Amino acid sequence: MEQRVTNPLRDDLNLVADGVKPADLVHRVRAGSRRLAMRRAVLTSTAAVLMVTAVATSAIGLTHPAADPSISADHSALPDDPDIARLLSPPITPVTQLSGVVYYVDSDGRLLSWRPTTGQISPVAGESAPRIDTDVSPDGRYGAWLTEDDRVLVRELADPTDTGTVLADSGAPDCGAPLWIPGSNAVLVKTDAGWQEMDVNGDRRPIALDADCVSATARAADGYLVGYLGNDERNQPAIRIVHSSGQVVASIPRGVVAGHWVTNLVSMSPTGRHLCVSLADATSTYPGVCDAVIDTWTKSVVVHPDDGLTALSVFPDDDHLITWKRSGDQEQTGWELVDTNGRSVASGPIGPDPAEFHPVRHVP
Amino acid sequence: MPIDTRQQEFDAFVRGRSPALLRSAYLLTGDQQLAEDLVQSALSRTHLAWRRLHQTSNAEAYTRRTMYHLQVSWWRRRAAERRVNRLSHEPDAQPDAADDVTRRLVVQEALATLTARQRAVIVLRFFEDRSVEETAAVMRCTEGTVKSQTSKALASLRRRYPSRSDFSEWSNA
Repeated sequence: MEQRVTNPLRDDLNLVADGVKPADLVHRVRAGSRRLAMRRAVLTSTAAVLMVTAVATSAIGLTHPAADPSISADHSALPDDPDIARLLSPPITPVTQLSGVVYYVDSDGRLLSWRPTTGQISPVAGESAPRIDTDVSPDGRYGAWLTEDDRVLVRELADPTDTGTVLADSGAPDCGAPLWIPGSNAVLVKTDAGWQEMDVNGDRRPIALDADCVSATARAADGYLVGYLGNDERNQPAIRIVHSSGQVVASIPRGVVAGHWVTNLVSMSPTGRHLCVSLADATSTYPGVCDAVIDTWTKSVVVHPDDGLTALSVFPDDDHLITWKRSGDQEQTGWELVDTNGRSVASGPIGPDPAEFHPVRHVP
Repeated sequence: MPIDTRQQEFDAFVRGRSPALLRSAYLLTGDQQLAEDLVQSALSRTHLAWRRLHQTSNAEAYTRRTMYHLQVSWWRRRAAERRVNRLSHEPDAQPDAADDVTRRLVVQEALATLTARQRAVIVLRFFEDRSVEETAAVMRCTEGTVKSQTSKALASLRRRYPSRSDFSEWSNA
């Protein structure tokens, strides 16, 4: 017996679809196709490619940072020193080279580990099912994910026989992966009873958090930071950075900041000083990527080059990003370590296809 | 076939089919810009395979499959984007049946509460009127998954949109 559907929903869907505006996509499709072809050509090459270092800032089309008055930041909840990275215990080690391990999810939902120093990519053992909504603990020991039936599971990544322990029977499916709390073996989970910290032993603690969903976490003295899209004091949509004590550390309007329309928080640097955000006016092929970096201490914004590829980034420390980058007009592509102003610091061997790369965690 | 001719035929395909593809993409994403990005991404892949697809007259089916795959797969599933959509329109009143604008907003809001996979199932089954089997083939999943996702999605829509309790399936033997 075949299932067909009633008219009311179809009518409603047609009504919604009538709201879309016509668009001439011919030129955009041609440009997208060229980029795709170029990426495939580069990434199927078997030659080890070492990319040119020290690309001049002017060659990659950065906009110059300037303080923006719409960024509200109050760091009174934090130590009275912008360089809080060095105050944390254990300290965050500054990086000067591509290093560590980057966990990422590919387009098939597989959790993979990548060593940027060597280019080596390996599937995480014991990961038999797609892990789209996954987060890896800051030390790389555990993975936590949301199952299709909305359970929150955690497992030791080094143990391929570990099939996972259920931490919660009903996570929030709209919120994606549970997020690890920096410096601990606990995740933030939204349940029917509100937000809770749940550690790997099953212990849980309710926390007061006024967020629909959490986008990122970061380290802080006497607690941790949580970043999310919420409403500010004027009830306007804003990116909120809140200390676990409840103190609002920064608030960035979801709207025009430094001449750009900020739409979303993508990730935070380890101390939350730098925020990766999405811009509505970026030409990135994919949403949810890091089109710009906001420095919450200086209230400045740096927009990444507008080639749609540079934004797939992770923070290995507080002042650098590992990112896919195309260098100006030279049509050279590759993974690089850049500072938060977009200046190249180091480059590495060929790595994951950026079209198949969603960063999850950098583990030093 | 000369390359120029092939390119012209592809351009004509893009112009001819973009409106319909955009309608589906808009329902999948709930956002004009994201819908355009999604169609562009799918068509870019179609362009690379155009020679083969053109010969088999399978270009639109390939483009739609790619579009659904892209939408359901990884970064497009990111919860953050759904949260952006949810922040855009929070209806505070039940829809007036005579008010299409309000009704559209309410349906959009209800759709925004679904997961990407549930949303794709709803669009495929209710908008494109595909069977369970066809939907499973497009989404590369089992028919059981399509049925369970459909059931969950309809239940969610009914909760969000109580005046439309007639959102349901019916059987035609």
